[in-house]
Amino acid sequence: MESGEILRRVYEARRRRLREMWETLKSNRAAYVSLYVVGFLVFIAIFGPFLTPYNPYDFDLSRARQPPSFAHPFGTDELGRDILSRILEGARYTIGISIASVLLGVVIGVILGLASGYLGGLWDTVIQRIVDVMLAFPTVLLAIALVASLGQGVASLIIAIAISTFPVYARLVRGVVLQVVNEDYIAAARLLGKSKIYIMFKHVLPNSISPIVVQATYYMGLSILLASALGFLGLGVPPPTPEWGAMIGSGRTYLFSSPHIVVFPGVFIMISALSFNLLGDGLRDALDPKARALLRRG
Amino acid sequence: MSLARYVGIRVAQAIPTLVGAMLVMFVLVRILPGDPARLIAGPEALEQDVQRIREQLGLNKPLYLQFVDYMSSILRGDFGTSIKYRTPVIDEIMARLPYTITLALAAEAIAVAIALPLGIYSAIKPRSKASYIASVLSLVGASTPIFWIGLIFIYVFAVSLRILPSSGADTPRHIILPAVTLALLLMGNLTRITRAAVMEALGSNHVLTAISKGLGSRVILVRHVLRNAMIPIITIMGIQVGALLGGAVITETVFAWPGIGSLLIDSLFYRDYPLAQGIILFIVFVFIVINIITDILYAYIDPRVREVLWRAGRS
Repeated sequence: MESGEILRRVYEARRRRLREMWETLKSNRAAYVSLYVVGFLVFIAIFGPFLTPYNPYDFDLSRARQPPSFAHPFGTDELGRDILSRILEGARYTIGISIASVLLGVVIGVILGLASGYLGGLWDTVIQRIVDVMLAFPTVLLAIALVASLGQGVASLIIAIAISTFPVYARLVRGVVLQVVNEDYIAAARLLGKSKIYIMFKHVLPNSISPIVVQATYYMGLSILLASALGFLGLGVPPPTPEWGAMIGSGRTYLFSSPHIVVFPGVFIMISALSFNLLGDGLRDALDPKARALLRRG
Repeated sequence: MSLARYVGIRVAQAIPTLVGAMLVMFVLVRILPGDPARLIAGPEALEQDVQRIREQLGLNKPLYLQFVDYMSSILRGDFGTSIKYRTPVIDEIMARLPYTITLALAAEAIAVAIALPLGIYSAIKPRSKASYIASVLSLVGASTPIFWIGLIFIYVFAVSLRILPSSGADTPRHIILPAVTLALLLMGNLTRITRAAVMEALGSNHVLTAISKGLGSRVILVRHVLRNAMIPIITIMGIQVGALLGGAVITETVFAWPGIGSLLIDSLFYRDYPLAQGIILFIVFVFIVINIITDILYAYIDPRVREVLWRAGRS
């Protein structure tokens, strides 16, 4: 068999596997719908500011705290700003911060996990002790401590959430590494004289991708809740930024007379977290071959 | 190995983590903008007074010595002095702690009272309505911002229906809303794990043996299924203490519940950093201790685990 033929077969097998994953994901109705919701959320996170019917920062006390109406579908807030516009504008903060912090967390976690599992020895001991210490902090509390220390702002929020969540990826990747490190293809690569770094990224990492993707999807849900909780507590991005949690935090004073200020941003937070969690369930089934076999049998 | 020895090993293992946690807090406080001595002295203080406070606090020593001082005073129970209250941090924590403990226990009790029966029932009858409720509950529990659901509860039960107080801690009725809110955070996961654990135990060989011996279903459920299922359930409860403590900070703030969580948020706004870091460290200590207790409980319930854990601990 000539090499072109082999390559063709490899690509075909890969395509078939991707198609199977896609079919499994599609067969999970909730996950499939969530995929569209997530797509929509990312869309408004990018294009939200162009879709706002009103300027999200323009305040006008004469139309403060109006209940939902035709002109203002979600009503107006305590300063007369249109809540729908603020939610659309705020998506890039809540969703954007979550995406950035998950990516950063994955990068830190993957590097530490690979080093810990593959290099072993002192690396492993030191990294695992660091992970132990991080896990000794309740996540919310560590995030609070970090934002308090780094100061308010988007960057420190991203760093705080990433640092509070990376240990989980580090543990995960280390586990996968320890599983695959004795496989034949790793030995083969070593015999070919490939460097440790090359083997780590070229052979070990691809094996960890599925569990990382699933975990990262779940952590998107968690990060959204964490970012908005910090915003609610007044520790997130400073006002007048319409981060969804901060909107609830500043609107809660008027809860008794104008609950709509609090209700709508919360609904968006919940839908976001919910759809990432459902998508995570679907991806877990689609990317985990064992679960997939079970599904096909059932 | 005796249980006492296991306890000893487990406690010894926690020491590096404890030191690490103190180091993290020490570093975080170092990163903080502003000079702590000036913060204590106040904005109008003279430079020589600030210098005197700096010396009193040991801020002119090398960093590693400062850390040693910091550790030794914390281990003696001295968490420093609150800037706002001008009292020892530990006194402030102790004064507010009973509220947090009450809230956490109430929430845990509600969560267990709902999650365990629901999880067990839905494992025994996987296609029932209860099973469906269990999966919805676990999903909602993992996706709901608790500060928001707390506010919604206030609106529904305190503003609209007027049957419960909205905030504070004056009467026993005040605990209902915060405890239910915090319980929601735990319930979902607890139900899911209980369901999975009971299902797994139901499928195990010794349960099959018990059935074939003709034991009554109640005996099998209690003695064989639940006893085995308790191990993952206790594990998740131990892990959830982190969520419980973190959630308490948020819940207390929503309901103005006067525990250490709302004290933490207040202290951050007042820039009362000694108090804030004292509270955070205190919570971390509690979390570590509870994790040790969980592990010990675990070993107590299942003697096999003791051996495994012990070996894992040595490697």
